[in-house]
Parts: sequence; C-alpha cells; structure tokens
Amino acid sequence: MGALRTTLSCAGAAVAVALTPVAGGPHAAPPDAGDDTVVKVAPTAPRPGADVRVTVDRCGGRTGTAASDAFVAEARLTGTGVDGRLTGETRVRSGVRPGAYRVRIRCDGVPDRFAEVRVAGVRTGVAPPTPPAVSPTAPVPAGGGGLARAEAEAKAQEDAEAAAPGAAQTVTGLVLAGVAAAVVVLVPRTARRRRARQR
Amino acid sequence: MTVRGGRLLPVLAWLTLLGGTLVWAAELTDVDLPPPSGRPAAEPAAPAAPGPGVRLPPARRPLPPAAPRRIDVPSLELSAPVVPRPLDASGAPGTPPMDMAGAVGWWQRGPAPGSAGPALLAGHRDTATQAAVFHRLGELRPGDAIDVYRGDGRAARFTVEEVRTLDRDGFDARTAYGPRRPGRAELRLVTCAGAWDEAVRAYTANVVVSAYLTG
Repeated sequence: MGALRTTLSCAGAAVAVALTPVAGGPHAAPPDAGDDTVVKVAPTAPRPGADVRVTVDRCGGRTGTAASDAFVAEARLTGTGVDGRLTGETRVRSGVRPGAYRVRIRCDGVPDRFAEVRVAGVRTGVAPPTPPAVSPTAPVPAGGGGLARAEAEAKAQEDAEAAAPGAAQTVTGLVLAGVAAAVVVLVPRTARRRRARQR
Repeated sequence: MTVRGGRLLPVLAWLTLLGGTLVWAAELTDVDLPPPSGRPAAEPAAPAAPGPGVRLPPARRPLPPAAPRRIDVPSLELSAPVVPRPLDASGAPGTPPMDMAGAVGWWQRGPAPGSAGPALLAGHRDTATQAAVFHRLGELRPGDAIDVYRGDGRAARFTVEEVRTLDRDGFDARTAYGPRRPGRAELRLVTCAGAWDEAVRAYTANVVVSAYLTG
C-alpha cells in the first residue's frame, strides 16, 4: 500500500510496475526465490535526479538494501508494517544516462536478487514527445479582440447619436404641431361662421 | 366670394401640414449608407501587388544565419524587440505571450531573417483591451522598408513586395509561409486580420506581409 500511495503522490502518469528479476548472471536469484519475489520501483521510468522508492516483498529480515549504478546511494529498506515487505528511498544520479540499470536487492537471510530500473530521458511519465513539426501549418492566433471590441463600441455610440432627433428636426416638429393645433382650432370656427352667414 | 375665401384657408393649412410632415419624415428616416467602395482601407481583401509606380529593388544575396534581435518598420513608426518562439500547439508560428504584446516572435526553427528562405515573424494585432505591436501591419504597401537587426551586429533591410489577407477557413500554409522565390532571403510578417469572432475568440483572417532582402 505504501508503494501505491507513493506512486499516486508522484506525477500522474507514473505507475508502479512490478519489475521482473533479471534472470541469469553470477548473482541470479535461485529459482525457488524468484517466483514469489516482487520488487517495485516508483516511478517506473524516473528521470535523472528524480527520487525513487523501492519496495520489496518477501524480504527475509527487518532491513535490506537496494543498490544500483543509477542511484546516488543505495536505498536502505525498512519494514512497512506488512509482513515481509520492506521499502526505502533513494535518488537517481543527475548525471546518469538514460537506459536500463540493474538494481541489486539485498535482504537479510535471503540471497541477493536483481531487478531493473529504466532511467528515462528528459521527458518521461507522459506520452513520448511528438517529433517537431517541420513547418508551420496553421494561421497565427494573434489577437485578443480589444481593437474589434473598441471599434464595435464606437460604432454603437455613433449609431445611438445618429438615431436621436437633431435640433432642426425638433424645431420642425414643434412648428408642425403648432400648425396642426391652429388648424384644429380655426377650421371648425370658420365653418361655423360660414354656416351662420348662410342661414 | 366669401364662401370661397373662407374655404381657402383650411385647404392651405392642410397642404402646409402635409408637406411639412413629408419633409420631416424624410429627415427622420434618413439612413447613412456606406460609401459605394465599402472596403476598409487598412485591410485589402486582394493582395496588394506593386502598382505601376512602384519599382522594386533587386534581391540581395542571403547572409549567413544569425538570430534577429529587433525589427524596425519606419513607415509604421514601429520598433520592437524580437524573441525566438517555437510553433504553438496548433502548428502556427508562435507569438510572444500576451503580456509581451509589444514584442515580435521569430519562428526559431525556421530560417533567420537575412539568411536564405522565408523567415517568419509573428506578432499580436491586439490584446483583450488594446492595440499590440502589429496592429497597423495591414497598412504596409509594396516598396516599404523593413529593417531587422541581428545578433551578429548586421542590419538586414527588406523591401515589401506583397501584402495579402488569408482567411482562417481554407488557410493555405504554403501560401503564407512557403518561399516565394527559392534562394532568396525572405521575410514574412504575420498577424491577425478580419473580424473578431467572439465564439472562438479569434480573428477570422491573417494578414501576411511578404518582403525580401534588398540591403
């Protein structure tokens, strides 16, 4: 569980992967120990300079070590509370070249075991870097719209001013209203007088 | 006679009223029509090719590559720093970040201004609130000069040969960014143009100024 928690607290894409013990070699684990031994290194593919956590199941004693040419120092493994599971932290050397490195696990009372850590390049844990585009393909998004917005506002204001009646129109309107009022008052009166005269 | 004279006044009054109302209404509904040309001067829809009066100078031999540091466009009273930029996520030549809207981005993996091939310089037209470095780019005309000051201490003078507006829809990158005449040292200045589309928060076109090394 400790390894899982560590993993989750690292970069989102980093996932602990059970590393298979490296078979063969003078220090190869005996067949009977290899089957039920689980070694985890998190993150799976650490970058140079990154912190790593090594977790080993079925260690014989209370302490152990995990050593590698890729690490600045060996990780001291101590108990996790889970029976037989030891864990420890170390750091990948910052000057190490990307590639696979052997990790030697040494537990009390158990023969040495070997696992592998893959040191990644500059970008790891995420999708492999896409090759750079040879040439640009898209139009430039080079604006925030400020000028367009200012232009639209200026036009709206202009329109509002144009829509309001001008002084000349107001005067004309008043004169017309006056004429209309005069007609309304005068015409019936003239008609009445005419009718009276005709009688 | 009295009867006729009595009728004349209201008839005249009504005619005056009717005529006056017609004139008034015509004034009120008067609409400002756009000028018949209808083309904004700053953004030519068709490429601005050299007119009969403009004689473009011959191309100069390309210089060895060197990064640009500064660009001057005397006719626009523009002088701005140039910063190297990668392509952005969409594959466009990168502009400087919005808080550096007074600077111009140079596509650092492409040709350097003054060396053979089309060097790309992209700048903002505006920010969300104000004009930015390339807001007057569309006013450039064939024959105008562009000076680029380079890291090797040399100044490369370019002459504008074409200014064109390319819509985002159906954008042809080769037209915008490709070489016009192989072997020349060319320069492209690119910014936004057209109308602001609030839905996608982008302008609808690019204005691309093509120039070539002449001094």
